[in-house]
Amino acid sequence: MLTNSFRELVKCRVREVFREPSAAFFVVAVPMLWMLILGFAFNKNGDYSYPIGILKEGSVFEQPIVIQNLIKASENDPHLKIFEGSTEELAHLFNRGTINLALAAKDGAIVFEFDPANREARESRLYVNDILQTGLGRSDFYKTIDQPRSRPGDRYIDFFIPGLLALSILTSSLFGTGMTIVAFRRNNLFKRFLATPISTYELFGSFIVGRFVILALEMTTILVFGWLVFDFHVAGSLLDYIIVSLVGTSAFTALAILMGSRLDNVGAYNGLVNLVTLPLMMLSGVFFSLTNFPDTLATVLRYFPLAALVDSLRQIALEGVSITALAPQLGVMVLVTVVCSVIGRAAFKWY
Amino acid sequence: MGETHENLLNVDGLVKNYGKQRAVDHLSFSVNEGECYALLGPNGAGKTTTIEILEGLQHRDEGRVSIFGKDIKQNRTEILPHIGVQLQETVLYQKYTVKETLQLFASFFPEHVDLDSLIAKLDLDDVKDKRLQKLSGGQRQRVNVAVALINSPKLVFLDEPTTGLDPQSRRNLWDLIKQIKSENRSILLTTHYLDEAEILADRIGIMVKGRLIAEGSAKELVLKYCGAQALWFHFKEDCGSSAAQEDLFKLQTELPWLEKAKMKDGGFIATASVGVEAIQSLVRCTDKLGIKLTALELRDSTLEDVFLELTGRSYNDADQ
Repeated sequence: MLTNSFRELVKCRVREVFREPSAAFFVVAVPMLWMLILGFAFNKNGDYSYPIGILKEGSVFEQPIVIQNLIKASENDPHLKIFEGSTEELAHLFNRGTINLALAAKDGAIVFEFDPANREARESRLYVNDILQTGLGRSDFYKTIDQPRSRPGDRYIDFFIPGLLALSILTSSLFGTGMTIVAFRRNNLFKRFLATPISTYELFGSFIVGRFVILALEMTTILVFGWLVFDFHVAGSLLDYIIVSLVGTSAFTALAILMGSRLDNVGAYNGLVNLVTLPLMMLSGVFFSLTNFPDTLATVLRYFPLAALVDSLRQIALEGVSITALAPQLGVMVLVTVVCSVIGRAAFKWY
Repeated sequence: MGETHENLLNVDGLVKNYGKQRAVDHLSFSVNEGECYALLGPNGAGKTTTIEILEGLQHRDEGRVSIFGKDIKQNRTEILPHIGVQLQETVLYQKYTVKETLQLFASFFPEHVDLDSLIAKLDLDDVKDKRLQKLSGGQRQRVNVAVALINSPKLVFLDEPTTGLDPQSRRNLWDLIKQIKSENRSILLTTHYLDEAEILADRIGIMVKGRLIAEGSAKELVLKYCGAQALWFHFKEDCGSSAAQEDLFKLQTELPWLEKAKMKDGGFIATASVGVEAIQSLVRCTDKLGIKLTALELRDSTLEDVFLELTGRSYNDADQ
């Protein structure tokens, strides 16, 4: 496999990235930006809010006493953001997403209006209800203590960084490899290759191994930046972490080869990538845990290649799990690599 | 591939269809060792389809193609290391330098020439460390030819190598092709430039609508289909007018060699084996019949005259 032609083809893959400033930007800068945005957005200790709307009826003194208490409490509660308005005004705020809960007094009761499928709205309802009830003298039967957890390994950013690495591997493989394949076909470069004794396996292999070099850059960026800015650590073996990433890169590069096997139109390929990446990103637990999905669906989703990669990286990074315990996830990724490579080669159009 | 074959390339009854359209129609020709053979024809004649079948890039529907005595279909892997290919339209890695490009393609072959010598031979020394995106059209085409020569091939396929180049770059590339030929390599060249075929090729095959309509050296073709010289003349009226047609008819009854005269550039053109005699008889006859000649030109016949003679159409009007 390590023939001179293979080495030259791998060099080509690597040079393509380093000589294309925009490609290098997506490999290095974009993951750092994601980390900064999401890391700080979800890592602000205690800095959260409950935006609620209150149906305004006459002056504040005409409101029931419970609502007056709530408005008063909001003056000293940094988490409570109250918007008063008419039915139409509150509807408008709901539509904009400014509030996720609206309160109105009706027939001696408080009516909570919210979308029960919205987790944040449910939280707002519980928070506000607590204030209303305790303001009227309700006391808890048993003492509870809130203990904030923000040590390395427990934070959202620790959960997110392995997901980000997996996402980065997915997008850079699909865009980096697939777009190159489509552009080469369009430029007749594959046709020119076909007139030489080059082997298809070497050509395909160079795409996968070339991605490994890019992966080294992506991994280094994410892990070093995560460590410097968020004190992120891999609890398990770094070697296991690298091996899992390599297997994931192979799977998504093979998927890119398959997706680009017949197209010669960059626009069409872009559409195909969106079709594939969007469901993978939303349904693979990159941003939020798969436990948010119904159990049966979550069981199926775990076999998605991106979910398998995300899950493996998280288990190694957060729980220190050994690679030997990740055989099912690795099996999924190896299967994707083999199946996509075989079909991709059979379907491959040289020009 | 060590054996010697007088005919390095043999094509026999080649047919290629695209759906219901026949692109190559029972084409037969051969290229001998050390020979430059040009497939000449207007755009759409089937030249590129033909050359790509011979390079093993496209499948044929009928016929036989043998290179070095072996069928390209069954022996592709064995033949490829010994042929050089320059495709009509290829965009190589634009971010690669000339030298890196050659290194890459050299790595695909079991044996290759010394890259520095190749760079010097193709006059690419000054730009060898420049990326392809920074090169001129002529320099890029030289790189394409360099890539085709990287494995020191016995047979080189050049598909319209000078299309789109400025006159100076074309002439430079012609010198290069002559140099390749002088190294006893065989060349199959496709071109739609008549002058290119005439200057570079030992033999020319004229292709029209997928068929080979004539074959031979430029001189042979001219002598066979035209006569050594061409006489162009113009009457007072344009050749398309009924008056001019009538005048021509009158002349033809007196001068049988004018029977095959064709319209060209507003006048008529006819070929003649002895030009001076033809002029004398034409002038005598027009005087006698009271026909006024406004222009007269005698020149050596060219491939364009051959094409006109064979197809009845001017070469420039023949793009299909």
